[in-house]
Amino acid sequence: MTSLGAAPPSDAAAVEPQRRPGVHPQLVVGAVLVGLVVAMALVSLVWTPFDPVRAVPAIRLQGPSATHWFGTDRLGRDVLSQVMAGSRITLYVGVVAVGISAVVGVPVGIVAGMRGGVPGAVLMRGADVLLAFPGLLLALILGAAFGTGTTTAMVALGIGAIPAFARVARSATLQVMRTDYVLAARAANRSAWAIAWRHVLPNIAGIVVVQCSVTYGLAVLAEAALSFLGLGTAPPTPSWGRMLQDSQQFLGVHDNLALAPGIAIAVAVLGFNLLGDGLRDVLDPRLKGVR
Amino acid sequence: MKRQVGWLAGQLVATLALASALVFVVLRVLPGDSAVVALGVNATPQALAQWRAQHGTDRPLIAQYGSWMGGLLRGDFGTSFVTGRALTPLILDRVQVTLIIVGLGMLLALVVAVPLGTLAAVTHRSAWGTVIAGASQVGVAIPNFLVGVLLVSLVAVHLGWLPAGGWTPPATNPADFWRHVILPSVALGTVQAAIITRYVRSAVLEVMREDFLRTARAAGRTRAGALVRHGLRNAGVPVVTVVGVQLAAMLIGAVVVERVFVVPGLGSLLVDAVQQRDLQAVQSIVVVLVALVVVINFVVDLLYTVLDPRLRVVAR
Amino acid sequence: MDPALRVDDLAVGTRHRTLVEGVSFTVEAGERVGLIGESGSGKSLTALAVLGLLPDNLAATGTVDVAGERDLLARSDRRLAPLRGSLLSMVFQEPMTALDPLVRVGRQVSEVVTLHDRGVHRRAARERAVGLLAEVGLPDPAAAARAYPHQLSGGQRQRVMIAMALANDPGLLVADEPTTALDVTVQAQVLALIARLVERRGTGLLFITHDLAVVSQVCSRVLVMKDGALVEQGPVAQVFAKPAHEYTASLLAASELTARRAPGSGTSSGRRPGIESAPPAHRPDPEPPTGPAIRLDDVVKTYRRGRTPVPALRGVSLDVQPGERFGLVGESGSGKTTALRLLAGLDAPTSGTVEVAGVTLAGPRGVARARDVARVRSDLQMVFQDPMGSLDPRMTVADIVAEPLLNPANRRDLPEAATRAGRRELVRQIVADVGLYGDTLERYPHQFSGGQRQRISIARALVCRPKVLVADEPVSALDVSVRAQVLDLLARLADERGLTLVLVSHDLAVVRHLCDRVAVMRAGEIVEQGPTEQVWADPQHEYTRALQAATPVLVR
Repeated sequence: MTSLGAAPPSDAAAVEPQRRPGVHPQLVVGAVLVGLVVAMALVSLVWTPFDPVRAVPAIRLQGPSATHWFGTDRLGRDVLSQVMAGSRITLYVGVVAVGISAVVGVPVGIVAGMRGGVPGAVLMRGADVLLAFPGLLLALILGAAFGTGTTTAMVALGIGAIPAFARVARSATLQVMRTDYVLAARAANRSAWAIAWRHVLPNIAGIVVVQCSVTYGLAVLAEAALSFLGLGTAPPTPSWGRMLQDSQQFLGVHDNLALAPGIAIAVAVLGFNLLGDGLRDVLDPRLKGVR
Repeated sequence: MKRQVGWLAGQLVATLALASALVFVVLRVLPGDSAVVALGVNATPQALAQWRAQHGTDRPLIAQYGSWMGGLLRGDFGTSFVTGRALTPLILDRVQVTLIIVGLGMLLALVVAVPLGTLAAVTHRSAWGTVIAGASQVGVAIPNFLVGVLLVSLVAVHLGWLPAGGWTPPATNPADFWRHVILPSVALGTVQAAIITRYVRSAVLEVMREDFLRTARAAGRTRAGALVRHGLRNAGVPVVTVVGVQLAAMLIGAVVVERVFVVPGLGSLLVDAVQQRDLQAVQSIVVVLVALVVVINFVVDLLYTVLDPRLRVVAR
Repeated sequence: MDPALRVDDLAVGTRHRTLVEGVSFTVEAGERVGLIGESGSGKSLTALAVLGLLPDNLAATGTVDVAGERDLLARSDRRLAPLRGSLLSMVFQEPMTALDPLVRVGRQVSEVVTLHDRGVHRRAARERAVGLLAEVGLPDPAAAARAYPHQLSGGQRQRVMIAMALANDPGLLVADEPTTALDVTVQAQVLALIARLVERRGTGLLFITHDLAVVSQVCSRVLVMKDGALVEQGPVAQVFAKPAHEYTASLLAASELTARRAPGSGTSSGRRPGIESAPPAHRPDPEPPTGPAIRLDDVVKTYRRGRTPVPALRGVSLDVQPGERFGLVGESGSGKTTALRLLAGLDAPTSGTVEVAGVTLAGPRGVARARDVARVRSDLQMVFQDPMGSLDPRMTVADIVAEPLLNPANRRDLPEAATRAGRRELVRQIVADVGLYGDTLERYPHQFSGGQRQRISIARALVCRPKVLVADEPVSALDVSVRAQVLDLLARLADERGLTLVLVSHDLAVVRHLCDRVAVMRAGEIVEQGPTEQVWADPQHEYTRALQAATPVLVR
């Protein structure tokens, strides 16, 4: 018989591009960028170069200098300090939004994928209707109904991302449910709970984590857009979106006011997107065993 | 085929009905008394009563929903709670502006993304492919309003080539219209181009692994010939879905870009309404936006069945 | 005259690894040559290299001449492409994915014609396509030409592929496992078709397969590949009668499944030498035979696809006695998988009675009681076809094998399984008993070969000591050399444990090797059943005869 040990190289394995073992560049860059933003938020809790909300009219609209690396804004506040402090609200909104959508969307998707039939169809049709309301639109609606602000934004973005989570979880669950190992577990008389817990959840976890990362990036973008519109975080709490909005009247004259928060947003979103892509490559069970 | 169109159209109507009910519940039922929302908690009872009578919110909710829906079916979006003006002409006027910049933005995005994404897939082992993939990855992370802000700074302020904002309807002055429409469309289209490039790339990569491309090559096509003849159409199926999803996202995302360029689109009307807590206006604008989103999904589903014979119901 | 194909010192590899090396052979004009080997032997890569269709990350060196055209490997894709489809062409294994799903079949065939002869009028090409579809035996060629691939069956699609490959009368046809994905009776037809068409055209054939019996029927000469190199070549009759290389000899030995020996005679090769197997785990006292272990009585099962009822079983009745080894044979769509799902309680019958180990699974409107289903499942365990897909990739072997023990209903006779340590010991015993070393327990499925995974699968099925073991195509995804070992392991375990064994297979030869009795199914009905040797030697039903005739037999 084939010797115990490594499987013989099959034609299929040779034809598929082989993934080099070791670190994954996207994953590393993504983790570094996200780490940067998280570190910035943590540091800003205890220290920023200047008080991010203290206005010093004497030093309004200064360009970048040794003291104020990114310059000062129209009220004489330090831009770097504001960018640092602004990362907190960005991360906070993202955590809550992703939390809401994952906690609601994943169970809905798993139930829909495992049960099928009428309950599954009803759940997914509900998600489809919600799909017609992107997070940003939902934030505007809830803002009109209950007043704008950070809480409204977080809840709206969270609810808006539920359908995506439900769909991802459902299709992954369907895939797992079609496997022979679930059939084997059913033939071994395991309960639906046991199958969900031992087989479905571990096998869709990777895809859910990827979705979390992608959704986080979208939430950062949407929060910035809302603050930019003046419908997100209220002043004086520093936020990247509002800094961008404030910079608009000085465009072409003080571009540092737009670039600093703009780059911060792009770095955060890029970080979460790369992290998601990297995790997808590492965690996707379809790639397992090819290594 | 006919039955399938009918089934899809039925779904469209059902989704719209559900969505409008949802909008009404969220905006008019959950927040409580619309008069309090409009006038604030400190308003006098007399003022509140007068407001209610004026806007018809003293009637039962179901009656208010009924008359709103009745109006929608006749093409009447009601009157603003704040200005008291009819919403219909305003919304119709504004929706055109939004559709123009969204349409042009998507056109631009497709013109860039389809060739670029295909190139990135074909050259995915070489430096070119890596550069395109990396650039599109960065592009996805940049918010469209940041692109807008940078365009204003560079093209409008520094170079002075185009106006920084404002709007001229195409009928009034075509040349002026084009000068105003370029920057908002580019701002919307750039980010979309990055997103769609990534999807085109992965769709083409996926298709390049398909057995039938190998069959076509075994029958005498070159690598490129097989991809053009058999690959691209197959890759088009998933890309159509993404374009639909992204069109819907752009309709909403245009809100922000309209703000940057002071474009009088549906989005800026909505933001104003939200800020003024004009629930009637928000409600009607949202329904229009949702209707557009749902119609886009409907068209995508139809396109799907046209593109892919496997999804067609066999005629009996 | 130049040979149809001359390959000299061919090597294929990535930059880091050589996968095929030093392969040289010729296919004379009109000659039919078989290329055999197991998965990973490099036989498909050799074929792809000849046509210049290797994946991007692989490169080939050496010389390939086709019908007078020299050194194909040195040509660019642009200069090689015009030869493909005209001078040499290829048919692939997987008919389901090899055709463009968005283009009508006739169009795909006529394209091959117009691609190589720009002068052909489109109408003429279309007529030629219909003619070709008729030639490959599609019943209504004009209608088939208008069909999309998904509207055709696997066998029909493979015929379309053959039509495309032979459209321009090439000098060489390369066929890579062209019938492996097809049913046995369809395989026989397609093989006959290929043989007839290449003969009529004088086309050289390079036929790649893992199945020695097929080679012995189709080819005159044979090449044997192992680990990227040719180990032997020569006329089929000579190589198969007197293999020079020991690998060829072992392949031949493994390919010949003998008839089932008398019950209880044990097995020869199932046990690995040097392994201490656990003490035979007999049930303490085999229960007195009270009745059949399995009884199906007029079982009907109808699935619904939308509003259309799809009958899967149309009144199936059979008995399996305790300790018997029973074979269920049929092609795709015969209902054998449905029957198996009913036995395992995974589905309930629409009408009729399913009885397993004395428990009846039936009820009004085909809904079996949950308690009955639970009892049946604790007495009956399954082994599945795909040894990778049936093992959760995220669990260790120990966890996979222990899983059935986690359900209290499954360990009624195994009080020791209530504790973690007890379960561990049971798992250790059974894993050793199926011939795997103890250190396998903490490893993950992807670290094992196909045959080993199937052993893990068998261990899981037997860990809670079921009375009945149902195996669904347990060896059809395995290489020939491993196939016999897994079958013998099943036989040994069934003997030692007094199991009732139900084997579901498309392969009459596999069933004959293992089973005492057999039932032949077609289209949801049992057309014939009886003792295996009797059915094999003297088939009564015409379908059984057709099935037997279509089963490739190794001619030595």
